[in-house]
Amino acid sequence: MKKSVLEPFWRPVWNAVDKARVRKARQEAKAGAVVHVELVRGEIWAQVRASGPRRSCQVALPLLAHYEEHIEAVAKWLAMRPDWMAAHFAGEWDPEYVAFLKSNRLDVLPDDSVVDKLRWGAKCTCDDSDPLCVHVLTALLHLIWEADEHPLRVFRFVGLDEELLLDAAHGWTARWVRSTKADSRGAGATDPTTDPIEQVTDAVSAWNVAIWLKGAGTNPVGRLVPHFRTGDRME
Amino acid sequence: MQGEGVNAKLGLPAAVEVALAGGTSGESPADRWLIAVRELASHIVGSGDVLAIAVPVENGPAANVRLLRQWALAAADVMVAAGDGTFVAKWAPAWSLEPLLAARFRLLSVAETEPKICNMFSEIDEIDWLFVELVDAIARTRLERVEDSAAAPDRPYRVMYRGESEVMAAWLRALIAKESTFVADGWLVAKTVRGGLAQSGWAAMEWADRSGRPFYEVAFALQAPPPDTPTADWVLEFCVRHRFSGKLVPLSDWWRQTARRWRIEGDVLVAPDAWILPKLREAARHCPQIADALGRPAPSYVEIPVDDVYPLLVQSIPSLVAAGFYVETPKVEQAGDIRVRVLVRQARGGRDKRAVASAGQQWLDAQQLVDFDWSIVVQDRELSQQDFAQMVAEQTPFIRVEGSWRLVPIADILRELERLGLRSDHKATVLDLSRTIALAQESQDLALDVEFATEAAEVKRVVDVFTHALHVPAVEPPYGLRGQLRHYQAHGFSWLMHLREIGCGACLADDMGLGKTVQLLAYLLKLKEEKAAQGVHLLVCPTSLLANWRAELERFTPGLRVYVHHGALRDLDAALAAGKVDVVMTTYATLVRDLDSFLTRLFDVIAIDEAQNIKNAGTKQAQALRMLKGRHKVALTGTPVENRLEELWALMDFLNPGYLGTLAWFRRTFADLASGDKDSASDIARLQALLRPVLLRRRKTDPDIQTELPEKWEVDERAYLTAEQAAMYQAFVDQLFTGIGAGAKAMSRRGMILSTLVRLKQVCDHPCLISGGAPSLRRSGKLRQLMDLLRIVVEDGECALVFTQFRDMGEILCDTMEAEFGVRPQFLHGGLTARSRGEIVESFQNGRDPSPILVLSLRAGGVGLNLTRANHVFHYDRWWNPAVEDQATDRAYRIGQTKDVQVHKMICAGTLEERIDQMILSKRELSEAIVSSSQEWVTELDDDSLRELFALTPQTVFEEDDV
Repeated sequence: MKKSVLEPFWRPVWNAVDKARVRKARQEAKAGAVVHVELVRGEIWAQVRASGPRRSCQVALPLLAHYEEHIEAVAKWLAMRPDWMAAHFAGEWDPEYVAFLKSNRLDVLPDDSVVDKLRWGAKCTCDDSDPLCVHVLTALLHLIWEADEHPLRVFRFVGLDEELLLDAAHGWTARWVRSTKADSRGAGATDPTTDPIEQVTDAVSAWNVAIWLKGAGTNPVGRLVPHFRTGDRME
Repeated sequence: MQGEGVNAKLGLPAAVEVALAGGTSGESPADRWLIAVRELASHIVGSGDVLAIAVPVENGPAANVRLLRQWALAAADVMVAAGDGTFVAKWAPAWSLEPLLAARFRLLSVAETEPKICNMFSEIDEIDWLFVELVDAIARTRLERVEDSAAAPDRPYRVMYRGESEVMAAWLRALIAKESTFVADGWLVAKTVRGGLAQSGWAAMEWADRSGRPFYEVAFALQAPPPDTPTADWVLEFCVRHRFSGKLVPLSDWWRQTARRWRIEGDVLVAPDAWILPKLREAARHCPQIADALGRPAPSYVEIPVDDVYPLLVQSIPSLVAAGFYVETPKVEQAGDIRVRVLVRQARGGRDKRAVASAGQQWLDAQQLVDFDWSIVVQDRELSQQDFAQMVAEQTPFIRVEGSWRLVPIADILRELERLGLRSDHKATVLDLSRTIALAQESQDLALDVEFATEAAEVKRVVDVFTHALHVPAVEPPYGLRGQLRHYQAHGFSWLMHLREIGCGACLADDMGLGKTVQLLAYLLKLKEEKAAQGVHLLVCPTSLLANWRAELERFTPGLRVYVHHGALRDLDAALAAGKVDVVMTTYATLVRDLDSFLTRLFDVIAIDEAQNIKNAGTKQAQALRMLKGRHKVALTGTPVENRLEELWALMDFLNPGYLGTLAWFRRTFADLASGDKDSASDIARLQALLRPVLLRRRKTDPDIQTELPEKWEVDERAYLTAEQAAMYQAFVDQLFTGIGAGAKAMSRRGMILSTLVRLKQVCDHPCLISGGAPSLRRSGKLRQLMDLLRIVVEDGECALVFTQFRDMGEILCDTMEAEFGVRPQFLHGGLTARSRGEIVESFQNGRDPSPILVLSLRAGGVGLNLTRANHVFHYDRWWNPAVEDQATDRAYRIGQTKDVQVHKMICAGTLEERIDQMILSKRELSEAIVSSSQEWVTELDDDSLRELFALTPQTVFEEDDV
C-alpha cells in the first residue's frame, strides 16, 4: 500500500484516541466496512458496516469548513492547473498541488482544532458514548484513503463533491477559452451542426463498419455454435 | 425496414416496431438511425460475432438486457436464478469485436442525443434488445445448423446434469425453428447462458464505458509552418483519435464544450477528461513541451520554436510513439540522396609545407595545393557551406523539398565530412583531395560529386591518375634485369614507376617471399637505364639484411653500382665523389650515426626495407628518415601493421606526409577499427580504400599469386657474422693454414681441414658452440636473422621446421625461441627413443604441440617423417650434399601439404658457407658428382683453393651497435 499523503495531517485525531480503537478502525476501513459516502446538508454521511446485531451504523462527520459558496474559486484554481486534475485522475498527488494546499492554508487539511470539531460534530448511530467511536474513525480513514487515491476528493472535507468540482472547473475553462484568444486555433473547428437529420446522417455516414472490422476475427463463444450458410462458421 | 426477415414480431418498443414495419424512407433521423442499426446487426452476423442466449419469456426488452448483463458479470458460483418455465431462445450479438462495440457506442450516443430516436424507447437498454432482435432475425435467415460444442467428439467426457441434454436439445431446436420458445430448467439455462456471456463483450468494461476511452486515444499532430514562413514556430496539437476510423479531433474542441460531454461525429464522450488528462500526463514524461502546456489552462497545443523541432523529432516524438501514442507528423521524412559537391577551382602556386622532403619537379605533384568549395546537395537542393553551418549552429536541420519538409541528418553529415577530411579553409593538397575521393568511394552514407573548374584540369588529371592507382600503365621491365619478373612483380614494378610519376610515396607490402626486393631493384635499374634518376638512390635496411641485399643486387641487377655505407671504413663523401655509385646502401643504425652526411644530399629514391623499423614515429630512426630529402620514397615491408594502427600512420607520414591526416584525425576516424563491432567492418573498408593507391599488398594466398608461385621455392637468407664470430672464424682459418704450412702429413692435413670445417660451421652458427658462454642473440648474426624470419612466420600463423646438424645448436635454438615466442619448441634429435620421436612428430603434426616451430637434427629428422603442418623449412647450417637438405625439406614438402613450401637456407655472408653455396649453384652437376657422399673432397683441394674457400671476405661483419 502506498504511503498515505493525508494521514499525517490527521495526527491530532490519532493522538487523541485510544490506539486500539484506531487499529480496529484501520482494520475495518481496510476490510471495506464503509459502503456508502455522500455529502448531505453540510455534513459527510457514511454508512459503515458494523459487527453484532446492528448490521450497520450511520455516521455523520462535520465538515472542516464550508466551501460550497466558493466552488467557482476552487474550480478556477483547478482549471488553471490541468496537470493537477491529470494527477487526480491518475491517482497521484502532484507535489505542487500539495504545496498549494499547504501554503494557502486551505481548510481541506485539518489543524489542531480538528479533534474538538469532531468531538462536537461527529455522530454515529452506535451505542458508544465517545463521539470518536470506531465507526467514525473508520469513516474518517476511508475518506482519507479515498482522497489519497483521488486527490480532488480532499475537497469533500469542505463540502465540495468531486464531480461537481470537475464540472465547474470544466465550465470555467470553456468560458475562459471562448472569451480569450486562446480559442483562436480551435474556434469553429468542429461546431456540430444543429440539424438533427444532418447530425444523424453525419454520425452514421462517417463510419464504415466493414473497414473498421478489417482484419478483426473472433472465436465462437457459448456452447451452442451456429454454422451459417455462407460457410463462415464463427472462426 | 425491408429485407432479411426483420418483419417478424421483434418484441421491441411499439414505436420501433411500427417504424420497422412501416419501412424506412431515410428521411427522418429515426429512419437513418434504424438503417444503421440494421446494417450493424448484419455486420455482426457476417462476422460471426454471435452468441446463443435464452431469456424468460415473460421479461420485457430492458429487463432482458439487464438480466444478460447481470449474468455476464456474475461469478461462476453466484448464479442469478431465472426460475423454471418458458424461455425464448435468441441469437444475440457477442460484442467480442471492439469495432462492433465502437459502432454500438456511436448508435447509443446518437439515440441519446436525438429526441426523435430517444422517444422511441422508454429505456436506453431497450436499444440493446433491438440489436438482439435484429441479430436473431438475420442469423436465423442465414443459419445452416447449430452445433452443441459440449457434445463434440473431441471434447473430454463430462457427466451431464440430470435433464441437461433435453434442455440443450430443446434450446437448440428453438434457435432454429420458427417457434423460439422452449420449456427448461431455469438454473441450467442461466448457467449455460452465463458461460457464453462471461467470455463475450457483455462482460467487458467497454460495454458500459461511456467516456469513449475504449474507442479513442490521445494523439498528437505536428504542424509545420506555412512555406512562406519557414522560420515560424511549429505547432504540436493535442488531439483525440478514433481507434478504428482514424479520425483526429483537436483537444481544443473539448475545452470549448460547456459540459463534460464531448460530441464527436455522433459519439458522445461522457467525462472523457478522466482518461484524456492522465494520458496527457503520461505523454508529458516523453515530451517536456507537453508538460509545460499541461501546467496552463485548456492545454490543446504547444508552439515549438524552430530551434526545438529537431530534438522534438528525433527524441520526443519517437519516445511518444514508442510509448504507444499516435503522432501525426507532416511529411518530415529523412532526406534521401544526400551528396557532397566539391568544386575544385584551381591549383595554387604553393606546396604543402609538410612535404618539403619530396621536392620534385614533376609536372604537378601530389603535394600541390588546390582551392575548392564544397556544398551539400539534398535532393537537388543545394546548401552552401554557409547555409549548412547555419543549419548546424541553429539546429534546424530541415529543408523544404517539393512542398514537403525533409529532415537533414546533420550529425551524420558532419561525421562524414570529418571522415572525408574536408577542411573549412578551402585548401587541400592534391593528395588530400585524392584521399577524400578514395574515402568517399567506400562511403555508403554520403556520395561525393567532384567537379573541376576549367582552370583545374591539371588537378583533375592527377586526381584521376591517383584514384585509379591500381590500374597503372604497364612499363617494360629494364633490359638489364637478370631474370624474368613474375606477372605480379611486373605490376608492382610498374606501380612504383607510376607513383613516382605522380609524386607519391609507395609502400610495397607483399608477403615475405613474393619478391619485393626484385621489384625495387627492377625499378632502380629502370631509372638508370632511362636516365631518369636525379641523383643516387638510398637504400636503408636492417644490418641483418645487408648481405641479402648485396647478394640480390649482384644476382639480379649487376648493372647497378652499389656502395655499402657500413663498417669502420665507411666514407660517404669519398664514395660519392667519384660519381660511380647508383645506390648507397646503409643500415638504420649507421644512418642515425652519420645523419649529417646524409642530410646534405638530395637522393633520388629513398627506399627502406623492413619499414616496420620506423613504426614508432618518435624513434631516432624514424625521425632521421623523415629528415632525409628525396624525390621518391618507397617502403618495403611484409607487415605494415604489427601491433597498433598508429604504425601505419607513422609509415605513411614518412612516405606521404599528411596523407593520413593528423594523428589525432586518424585515431578519431578509425577508432572503432580494433573494436570488432559492426562499425569496424566499414572502417576497415574505408581504410583499405584510403590506402589502396599508395599501398600495394599481395598475399601468398591470393589465387592470382598462387598460380604464379612454385609449390616449393628456395631462398638464401644471408647474415653477417658478429665481430666475435669473425674474429674466431679468422683465428681458425689462420690456425689451419699455419698448421698446413708447417708441412703436416697427408692424414694430419685431412684431419685438420675436416676439423676446421666443422669448427667454422659452428662459429657461423653460434660462437658459444666453441667458446662457451651465454648463447645470446647478440653473439650470432645468423641466429638474429633466423629469429627475424621466424617472427614473420609465426605472425602469419604459419609453421616451420628448423634443421641443424649440431645438437647443442638445437638446444640453443629452442632456448632462444622460447624466450622470443613464449613457448618452447620440441627438439627432435638422435638421442631420443623412437617412441619419443614418434610422439613429438604426432603432437606437432596434429597441432597439440603449442609451438608452431619444430627443431630437428638433420640426421635424426631428415628422413621418413611426415611434418606437413609446416610450410617453412629453415636449414640453419649448410650440408654439403643438397640431397640431404632436400630430403629434410621433403618432411614438409610432401603429399598432404596444402600450402606452398618456402625453404630458407641460412648462409653467413663472406664465409665458406656462401662459397660452397655458390659452388653448388654454379657447378651443380659437378658438385653433385663431387659432393654426393661426403665432404672428403674438400680435403683434396690445394692450398690456394682451400684458402679461397675458407677466407673471410671483409665488410661482412656486424658492428656492435647494429643490434
